Amino acid sequence: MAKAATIVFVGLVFVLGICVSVLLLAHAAPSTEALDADLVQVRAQIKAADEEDLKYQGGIIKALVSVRREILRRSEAMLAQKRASFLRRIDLRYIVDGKAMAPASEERLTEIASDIDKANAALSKDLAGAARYSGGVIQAMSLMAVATDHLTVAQLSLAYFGAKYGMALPIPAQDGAPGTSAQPAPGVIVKDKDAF
Amino acid sequence: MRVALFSLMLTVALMTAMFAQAAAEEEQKVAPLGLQWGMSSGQVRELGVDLKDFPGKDYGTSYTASKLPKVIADTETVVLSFGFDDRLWRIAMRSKAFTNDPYGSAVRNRYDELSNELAEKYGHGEQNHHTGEGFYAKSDNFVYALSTGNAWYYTNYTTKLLQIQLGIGAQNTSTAFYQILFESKTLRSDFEKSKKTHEKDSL
Repeated sequence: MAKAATIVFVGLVFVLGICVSVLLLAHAAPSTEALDADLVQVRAQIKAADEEDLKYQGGIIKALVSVRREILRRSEAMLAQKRASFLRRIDLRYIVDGKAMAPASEERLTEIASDIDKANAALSKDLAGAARYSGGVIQAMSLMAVATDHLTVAQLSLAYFGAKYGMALPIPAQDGAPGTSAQPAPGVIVKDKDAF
Repeated sequence: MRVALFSLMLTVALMTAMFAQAAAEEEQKVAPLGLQWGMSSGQVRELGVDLKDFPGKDYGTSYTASKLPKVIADTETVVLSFGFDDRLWRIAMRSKAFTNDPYGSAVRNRYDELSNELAEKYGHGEQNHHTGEGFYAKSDNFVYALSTGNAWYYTNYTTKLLQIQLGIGAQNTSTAFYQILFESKTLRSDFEKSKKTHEKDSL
């Protein structure tokens, strides 16, 4: 009898162990370490934006810095939300237009990372440019370019983290390619010369 | 015999003059997009065109038009102005937005195409192309310069009957559009007069 009870007990422990393993495996990626690392990076960028914001009393550069900071805060909130969902075993899924959001492919992530590199290169160039002037309109223009570059990097980072962790961003999809907006023509389309 | 010949020649000359006048009158009436200058809004609607009120009275009563008999491929909006006496005197066409193109390459290519078409029909135009100075002259700042008023890009075509302008405008730093304005000179002059009367009456 005692032997049977032991077998049942061991069996139950075994089944329970399998269940726990499956549960952990289901939530294995991304790890909280990866999220923490990204959070540290984003928080450092927010701190830098805060410090930069203090340099200006007003004007367009301050406005651009504020926008950048808000975008970074959005990234931070998104990452923190994802991290909390892991710790509390909440299955966080985003549905946009009836489609489940999944983490992007490596190829897509590399593509965004490449854009971030390019934006950082432009930022370094503009920073070097701005450092050449000590004041005046040209420096103001250079600083504006720097602020815009920072904004681009922040936006791309937001897109990167969103793609990396499969989180939805309320940003309309754009392919980035030049084109024309699609709206129905206000009449019967004919050749240019026939319309004139 | 001589009298008969003279009468015949006179008749032919009169008929030729009448035909020439009829042709000239017809030419005066023909407007772009399958419309006619001087048409009333009711007559335009009879063609099956949908007219919706357009805000502003700068050109009298204006409507945005759809279901027009003819438009060019990338037209997005057409505004028809009827002045204060309900006679079509102005047609404004605006293209779809050419997005994500700070250089304005696509819109400029289209502008060049249309410029050639208009020149073929209405004669050589007078170009006014100023692409800005210094920072604004950079090719990647073309649309930005337009949007801030530091650059302009348009061509005027003038005929005996019409004043036409083809131009490029910008919505923001990387989105541009082209627009074409057609105005009947005679009807514009009538509009200016009626505008003055209208303004006097409203005082």
